[in-house]
Amino acid sequence: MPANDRMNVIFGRLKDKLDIKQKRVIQTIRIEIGEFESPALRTEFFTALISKLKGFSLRNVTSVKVERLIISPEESELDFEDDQEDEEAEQEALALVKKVALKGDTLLASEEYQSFAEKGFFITSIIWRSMLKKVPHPMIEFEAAFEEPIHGKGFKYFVRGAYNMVDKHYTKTIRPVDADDKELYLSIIEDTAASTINALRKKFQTEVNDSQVQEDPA
Amino acid sequence: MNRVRWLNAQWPSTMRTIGSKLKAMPFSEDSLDGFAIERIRDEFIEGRYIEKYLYQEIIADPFGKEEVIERASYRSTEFTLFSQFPCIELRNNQRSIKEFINRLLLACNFTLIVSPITVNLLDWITALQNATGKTIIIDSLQVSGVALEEGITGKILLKGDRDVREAIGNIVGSKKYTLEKVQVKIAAEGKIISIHLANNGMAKIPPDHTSSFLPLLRQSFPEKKLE
Repeated sequence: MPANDRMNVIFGRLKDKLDIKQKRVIQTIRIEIGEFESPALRTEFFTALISKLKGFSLRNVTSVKVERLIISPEESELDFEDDQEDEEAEQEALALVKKVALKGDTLLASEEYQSFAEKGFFITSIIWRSMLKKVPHPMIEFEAAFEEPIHGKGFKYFVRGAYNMVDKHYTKTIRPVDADDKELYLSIIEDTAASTINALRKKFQTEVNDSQVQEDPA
Repeated sequence: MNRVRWLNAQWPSTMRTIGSKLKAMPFSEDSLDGFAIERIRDEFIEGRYIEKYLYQEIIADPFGKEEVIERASYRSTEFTLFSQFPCIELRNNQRSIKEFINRLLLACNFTLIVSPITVNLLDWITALQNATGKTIIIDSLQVSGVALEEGITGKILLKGDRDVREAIGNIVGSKKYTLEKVQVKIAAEGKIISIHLANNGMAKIPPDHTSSFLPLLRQSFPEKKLE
């Protein structure tokens, strides 16, 4: 589902109409993770999404994009013009890896992914396969990503297709998913993403409160 | 033959912590997959990963009528997770171990590393010979990537009525190659036992001798990984 400006306008109009029809304001939640400055929390958004999809069981992660969270200096910080250190930092940045795309199987258990995660990279895009917990157990391939990864904005998600079970084994070719099923699966992603955001906000708040207590034990 | 495969892993926590997480993901009548954990110790976890598959079988009669029968099937992988190398031992595992690895990953809160092992078979056999104290004969082996000429490589399978190590040396000489699989013969308990070993850390052991040879194969597994 494209998360572009046109879609935002359509979403706004549709919501207004629904609000009028329902004679009340419909609660909406924006799937954005820009408020989380911790790469671990940003990654947790994706790992929770893929592992908590209602009615599905995670089977494989086949593609992951990770990015380094670079926070620009705050305005209150001193910023000298022609600062030699800045120039040196710029030179260093030339050899700095910012984004990495990994493709394979069970990627989140790979040495390469874990090494990037340890270095402070976070997931910005993911393709995974989950088995539907209902006969005939098709394995659905999903994709989720942020259009603006650093700002954690523009959440987009797709149902890429299905691998069906034939003779107790999954087919090797991906097939299109029935339109009604697709709608249902997309709504499950939306619900899971929304509940994940709420859970992460609570966790983030707890972490902030805990750190404040530690700083000020009195 | 019983099939055993070893993998390397970097555990994020102790065996007891991981064991209790796996116990909280049990296989039950209502679940489609889960663990049956038998033993949790400081050094290892022993159990099975079970998957249930529900599928439809369609039977068409000669008159064009179709009958759909709902069937259930189960797959089970026995495993031992060790705190030390080689960290994962799978016995008679399914061809795909992705589901099992993903379940472990969930239990480890997505902070687990699992990697395949490429083993030097000759080192493994030497260590096995030392562990058993018996002479081991390689009567069959397969090499690949034999650099025959510029841009041409070959795969060679040797079978013999005696040890074939010398013969492969004579054939390939100083050429580059990869030793992929071997069949070894060991005299034990008044019998000649045949064991298959592969450089991806896999072994096939006769069922009657698994209990005696599996600990020896595990103990002699070379820790040094091939680059």
